[in-house]
Amino acid sequence: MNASSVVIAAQRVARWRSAPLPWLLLAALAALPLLSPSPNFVRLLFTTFLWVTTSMAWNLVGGFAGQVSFGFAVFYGMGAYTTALLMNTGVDPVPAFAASALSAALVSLVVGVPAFRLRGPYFAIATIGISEAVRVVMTNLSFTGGASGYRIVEHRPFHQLEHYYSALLLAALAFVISALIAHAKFGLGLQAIRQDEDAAADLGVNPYPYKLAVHALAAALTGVAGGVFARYAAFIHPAGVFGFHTSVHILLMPVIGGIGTVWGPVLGGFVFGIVEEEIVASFPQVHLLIYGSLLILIILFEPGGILGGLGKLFRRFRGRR
Amino acid sequence: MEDADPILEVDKVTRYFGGLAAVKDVSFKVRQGQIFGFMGPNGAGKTTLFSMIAGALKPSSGKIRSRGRDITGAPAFKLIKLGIARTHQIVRPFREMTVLENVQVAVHFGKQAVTGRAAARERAIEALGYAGIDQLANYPAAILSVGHQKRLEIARALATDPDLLLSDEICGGLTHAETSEMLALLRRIRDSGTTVMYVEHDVKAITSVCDRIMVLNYGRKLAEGTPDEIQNDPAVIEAYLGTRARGRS
Amino acid sequence: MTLVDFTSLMVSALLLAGIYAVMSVGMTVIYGVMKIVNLAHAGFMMLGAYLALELFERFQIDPILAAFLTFPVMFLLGGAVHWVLVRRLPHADEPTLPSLLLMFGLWLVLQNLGYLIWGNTDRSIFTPRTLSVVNVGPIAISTLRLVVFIAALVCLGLLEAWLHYTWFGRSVRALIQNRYAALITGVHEDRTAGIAFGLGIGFAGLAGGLLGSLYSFDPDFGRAFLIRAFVIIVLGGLDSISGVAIGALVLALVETFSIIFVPAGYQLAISFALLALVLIVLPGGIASLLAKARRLA
Repeated sequence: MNASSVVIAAQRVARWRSAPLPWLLLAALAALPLLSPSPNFVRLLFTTFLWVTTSMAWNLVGGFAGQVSFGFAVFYGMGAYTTALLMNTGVDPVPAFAASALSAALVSLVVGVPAFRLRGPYFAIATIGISEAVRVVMTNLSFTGGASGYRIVEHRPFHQLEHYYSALLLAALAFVISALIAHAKFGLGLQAIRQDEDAAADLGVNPYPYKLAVHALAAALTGVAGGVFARYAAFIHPAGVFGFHTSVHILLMPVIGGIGTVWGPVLGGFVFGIVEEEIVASFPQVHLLIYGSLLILIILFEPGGILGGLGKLFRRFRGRR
Repeated sequence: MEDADPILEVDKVTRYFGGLAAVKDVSFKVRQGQIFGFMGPNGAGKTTLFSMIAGALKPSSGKIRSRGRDITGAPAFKLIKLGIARTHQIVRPFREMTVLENVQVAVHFGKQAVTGRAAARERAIEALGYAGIDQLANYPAAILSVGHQKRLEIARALATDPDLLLSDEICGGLTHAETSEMLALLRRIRDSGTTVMYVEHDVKAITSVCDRIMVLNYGRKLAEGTPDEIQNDPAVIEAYLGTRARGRS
Repeated sequence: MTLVDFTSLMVSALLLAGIYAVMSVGMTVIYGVMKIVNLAHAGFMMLGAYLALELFERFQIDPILAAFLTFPVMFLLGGAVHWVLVRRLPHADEPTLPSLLLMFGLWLVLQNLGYLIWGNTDRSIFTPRTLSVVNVGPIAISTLRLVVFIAALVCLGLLEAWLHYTWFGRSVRALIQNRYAALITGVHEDRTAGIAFGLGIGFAGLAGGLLGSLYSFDPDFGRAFLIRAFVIIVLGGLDSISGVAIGALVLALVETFSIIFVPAGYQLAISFALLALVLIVLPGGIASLLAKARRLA
């Protein structure tokens, strides 16, 4: 069984399940507060939705277009700071989120415009470069409080469910975008670029604007996630939102779930969101060691992630009957 | 009128690699509705010339025009929009896509730039039918045989709706029966109005299908004419068989 | 700026360039042979620094000598990593998504093993040499930096000689220049790649050991240097060893002289800006500029 047939099998599993599932899931999550869950559980789901969003966003660039980014914390942090700064000048949350999307998309161009002109490792390298450079700048920047962080003062009563629904809505939006793209012209173009950039160009795909566009789109989604997080947390600092571990988490989720599929990143995001706090709490020193080992194991033994593994099981099961 | 603005006009094109001229001062015109072939012994510069026309390589000097428009050094994705598509000598399917999706990419990004999914699928199936592999539409492209992958190359290129199809050694690696089917396909493509430029190593294949042939040798144009003229041209015979060279030694 | 200031800045840029070159050359060798960007380079540099520290503290071995001693250890480690992990990646002509993610995962593992073993306190290697200075006329040069520079030059010289005059060195160069031709002429790819990988890791460890005697470090050590190494190899055209020397010099000059205009905290931003600039203006690296000049001539 070769890699491509696994991918196609996984896609088929995904398609087979896809028709009613997202709506059921969305309805269930939207109705969940009726069961009056504990605030802690709501908070856990809230962060999970944000992780799921960023996971799908990364997958647009890494999974569909095949461009590995190690710097999504830049967009997350950019969005967080944009929302924070704007809300403190009295802007409402929603326009502030929109501004976060815009600022993150603009920053994506700083990496994309030089790096996407060339083939090869330049993009991946540039993403590591800019995430370090931006964090250094943010740590030294005085009007955002530098390393000591920045506080958001919202003159409205705090409703946890409001945050819950905004995160859920964002995740749903990311899903719709990802699902629509996957089989449409845009998504086919991206996948063609990933699989053979020259052959794609020979069929009329112009890779440069396509890569720039999908990178900006992913950045915008990640930026909004950062903004939603900042509003909830009410306090952000560069080592958190711009932190290296944020970038690591964002790329780890789609890899766990299954790169290049619609459902893989969702799955990865949910799994990660639910176990992450537990892992960090149980292994505070070594959780990144665990993530690194996991990354190595997945890449070497199950590049299709959970979804790819399920696809294999599904085929074996069907083959036996 | 066609002579004034031929679908492809190569004008004194030269390409150096280091100090070596792989192609030197080659000029020719391809008229609408022809199958135009170029052939030549190994290392004659066929692939270099083809790559320059297909936008994969920039000429060191000279001009390439299509319908009077300068396309020298234009990248492949721009040529597609001008109605010039290519196939690859070594097949390059998108291996993780189905056969149908492969062709859908071509429909979406071809000259017509179809956006709708349903319309794109329909056109793609049409192109697959034309190339004779519509029954394989939902298979992963990676598992096709070489013969079918070559047909997929053709189907993809045709799905971009080209006026000129550049085809590089499309019969390489095919069996005898597959070759004659492929040549029949090229004729059908020509008869449906798409001009074909065809590069081939195999003299028999190229002389049987082409309306006009150019022969390259050591990077220069050796001869041009109908298949009959070419086959009886002493310079061509010498290049392929080396009679005079043998006599000299 | 007086002439003395200028000269001493030039001297410190040159001294910096030496260590930068050693730090980047390992990445270039690995990229050239395997087309893998070794994102774990920073992790191996960190290991090299700690190894030198342990040798110095436990056995009172001179830190510079200790840095040299890390080389064989790291070489073997690199060979093992290649055998266990890297070898399993499918070969490609450009870095693939799996190779990038694998090396990144390896970096995470190394870095956090470092935290596990050595904790997160800042360490440094301090000898009487650390603060001593040689005076050349009006210019004061740090003895340690001078020694490190000389050590760096020796290493680069040895590498160059090895690549040119040994059978394995030549097969490494053959793989860098033309993989298919190399394979046809009987280069054993797996073994050569393993040696090249070990060599790259060996140089990472050596550079880490040398840098460890210049700067303080913790398990996250090497990250800032990783980005500099990227800039240098991109400047050098990714797989050219002489390009590395030029790239290192350019970055060292830019960094050293930018101190006049930009606060030290923003140095990394300068590296990134240089990277972006090179990608836009000079995509093939400086070597491509030279090649172009040759073609025109």
